[in-house]
Amino acid sequence: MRILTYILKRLVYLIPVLIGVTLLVFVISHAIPGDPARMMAGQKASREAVENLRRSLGLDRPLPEQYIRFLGGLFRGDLGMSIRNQRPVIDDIKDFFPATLELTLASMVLCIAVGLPLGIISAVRRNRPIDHISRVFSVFGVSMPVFWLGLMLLLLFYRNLGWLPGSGRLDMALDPPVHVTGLYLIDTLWEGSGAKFWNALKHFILPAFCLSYVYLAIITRIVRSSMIAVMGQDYITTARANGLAEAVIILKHTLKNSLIPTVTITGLSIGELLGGAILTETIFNWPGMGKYVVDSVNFLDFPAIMGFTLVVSFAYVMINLLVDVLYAFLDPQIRY
Amino acid sequence: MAGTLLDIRDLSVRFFTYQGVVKALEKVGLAVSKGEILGLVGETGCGKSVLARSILRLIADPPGRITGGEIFFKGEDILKTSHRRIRQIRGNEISMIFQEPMSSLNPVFRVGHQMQEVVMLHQRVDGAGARKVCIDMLQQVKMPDPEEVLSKYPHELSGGMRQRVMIAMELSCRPDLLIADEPTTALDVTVQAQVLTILDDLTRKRGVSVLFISHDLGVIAQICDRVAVMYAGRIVEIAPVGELFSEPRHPYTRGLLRAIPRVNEGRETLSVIAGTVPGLIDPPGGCRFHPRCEEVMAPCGRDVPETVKVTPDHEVACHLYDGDN
Amino acid sequence: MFENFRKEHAWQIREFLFTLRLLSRNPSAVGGFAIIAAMVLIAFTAPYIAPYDPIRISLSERLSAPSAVHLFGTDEMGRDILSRVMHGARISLWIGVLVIVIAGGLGALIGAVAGYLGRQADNIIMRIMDVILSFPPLVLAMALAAALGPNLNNAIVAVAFVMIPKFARMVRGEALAVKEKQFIAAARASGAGNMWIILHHILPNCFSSVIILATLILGETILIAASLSFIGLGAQPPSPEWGAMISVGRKFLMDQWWYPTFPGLFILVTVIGFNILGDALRDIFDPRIRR
Repeated sequence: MRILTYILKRLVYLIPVLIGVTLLVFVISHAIPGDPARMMAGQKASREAVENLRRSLGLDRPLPEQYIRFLGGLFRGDLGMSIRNQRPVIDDIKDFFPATLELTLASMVLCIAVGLPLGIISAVRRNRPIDHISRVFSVFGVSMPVFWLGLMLLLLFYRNLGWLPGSGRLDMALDPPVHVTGLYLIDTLWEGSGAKFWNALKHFILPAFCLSYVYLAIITRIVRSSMIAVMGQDYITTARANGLAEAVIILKHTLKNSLIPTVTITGLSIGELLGGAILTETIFNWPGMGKYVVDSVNFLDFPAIMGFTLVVSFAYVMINLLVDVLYAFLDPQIRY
Repeated sequence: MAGTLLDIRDLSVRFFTYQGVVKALEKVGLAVSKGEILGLVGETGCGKSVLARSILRLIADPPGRITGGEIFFKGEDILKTSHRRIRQIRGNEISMIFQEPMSSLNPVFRVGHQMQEVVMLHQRVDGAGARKVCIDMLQQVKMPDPEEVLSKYPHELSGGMRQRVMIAMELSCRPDLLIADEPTTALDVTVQAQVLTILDDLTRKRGVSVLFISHDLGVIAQICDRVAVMYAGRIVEIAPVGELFSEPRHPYTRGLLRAIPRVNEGRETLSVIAGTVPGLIDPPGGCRFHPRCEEVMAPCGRDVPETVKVTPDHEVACHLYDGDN
Repeated sequence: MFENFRKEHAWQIREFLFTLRLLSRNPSAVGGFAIIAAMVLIAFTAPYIAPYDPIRISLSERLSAPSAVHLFGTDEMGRDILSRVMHGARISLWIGVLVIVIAGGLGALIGAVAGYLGRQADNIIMRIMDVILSFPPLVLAMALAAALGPNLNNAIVAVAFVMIPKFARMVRGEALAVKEKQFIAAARASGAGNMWIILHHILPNCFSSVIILATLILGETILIAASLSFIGLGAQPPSPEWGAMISVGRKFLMDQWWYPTFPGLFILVTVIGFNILGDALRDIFDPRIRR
């Protein structure tokens, strides 16, 4: 089965990349800063505390040995100790992960649900008004400073119109729902509290829109251009010459071929969403990993920053692997 | 006329581009009779493909547009019929096969799926029935192991096999007319011969008329009953194949035939037609061939030549045959 | 002497003028160029034409709304926001140029070496590039900037580092194509060394693609740099860098909307300018359209 070989090949390729990722993070966290021990202990720690930390973390050992220790820690799930919270970074990340996941997932769904049809319409009605509008929208999308967009949205919908709340996942007065998945939208429904669900939803709208705006624009663009590229292909002319209905030609024959580049970009976008979440969560006070790392930056909580970086890039690599696998299902030329 | 299947009259097609208006087809007229194979020959860029696509209204608008003329098919002007009617005709009463078999099939669907889709669209059969039709057609085009082929993806087949699949697919609904746009040009010579034979046999057996487009006179000579010669968007000569080769009337046709190198002639240099094919945004006035014509006369640059019948089935558009003969 | 230059590079000059003509017909290219030109102009002339000194403090005028006196209003120290935004253009464009020069130069060199040398060298170099590309750009830039220390120069290094693989990948692709060409074999046959060939033959042929990529990346660079400043890792307040201004201005969003709005607007417009121009350039250089 060639598809299995393909997946295995991708996995094998993955391993040096993952090692490289750990190496890069190691270099950044241990080799670049002037005094890694000081960075890990925090600016305010006493000299004694720094020396203790240096010895206990083995930061006085030669670099290669440090790297092995680092890798070992990773296998055990040890990402270091947050200076700010005085607890393992991995625990912090576990706490904040669901909020980010919820935001990222919703944004992804939004991007596809809006971006795909918009891109298709744009391609089919090329150079007509709707196309021009969506192209302008695309340019704005990729040029938009996410944090500024968030502020403008707050200005409009929170301050001026008062329709939507400005921060957090839930009104301060409400207790969080029962922790089933960590995703408020699901948990509130599980709990059966309709009012809480609406509240969570309202808190959700602005951050989700803000986060997805950029990638919506990107996805629309890629769908449009790949559809246009496919529509010029001979096999589309053949389908038309055989009398197939226009809708079938677009939605079946053209779209399936366009999905390949679309899926690739979508996969890349998920990774970028993780990056964009940093800014969006900060603006909307959304208690996710993004806000966590920005707070850590302000505190110069070095281990937290590095832990976050590692987790996010691992996720990014895994997602790209998934995209590659999906690729194989979409493009028969890879499988056979 | 009895026996006429397709009658193209005064067809004009233009393309509206940034650089200007391309006058791709200018009052083109030709007719295909029932059961005959009509060849359409001309150099690259003369408008053969545009003509072929115009018949099924496949010209992309923008930038192209059919600006005049009629195309009568079984008595109906198919340029003016509804979109539903033309969809009914496509793949069903008039079929088309294209030049590039490598890209004419959708790479993400299996061959059987694509063939069955067409059959189920036009005929009242279900999936199983369509499958039977497809297998039968694949056998007709001498495909080894038709059942296997149905489950393959296009990239798993060779160029020649793909073209045969195309032929099978396009003939599966028993069309009255098949338009073949350079079907063998992209194939190896050996495969070419195979495909040509299949095409010839099948169409004659089923009484399918063919509009066979090519720039290769050799292929035309092999398979066609009559031939139309095209130059720069106009038809310049139409004649039965034998007569075209033995008694070409139009200077362009003569030049073309002369340019075919023959092994037994002692000639040192290749004979060429002087000049180059004109761009169609600003084509020459009058007869479009006149700047290159060896027998050019006074009216050639001024007046478009009328089509004249020099014999009952041989027509030419050239001032040489205007008043005299 | 000028005549010699003209003769030697006649073909390139003609190509360049042809490209300019194509560009002038393309509305996006013209629009994008106009925006960028305006920003560059503002950046260069800010010290002369800005209405106020960007660091002039005037506590009596603090947080005043846009008016005839202060077109964009004032910040919490009474500084004129318009003047600060104009000076911010200097910083942002400076960052953009530096990053592009560093990342473009290094990236192109790395890519050319990888593409030209091929096989092992290519493999290793591209794997390293892949590793860098395995991080979402902002995340990696953030980690690097945090490790190096929160200041503008370190931010520039961080962003440049993140952008290097993009240039490297593109130039590598071009190098792979170019190295098969005849004139390379000819150069090698006449004894040219690898480095010489790379510098004199491979890189010049990639020039136009590098320019296009640079234009597109400039937009992304400005965004990432502003984001870093916003988080607190790039330019530090009271620098009039746009991202830093928004970072401070955020606190005043509700009652002094003008404070974070105008700097962000300038970021948006500038990046749009680069993106539109870059898109137009890319379309024009597309070989299918060039005929």
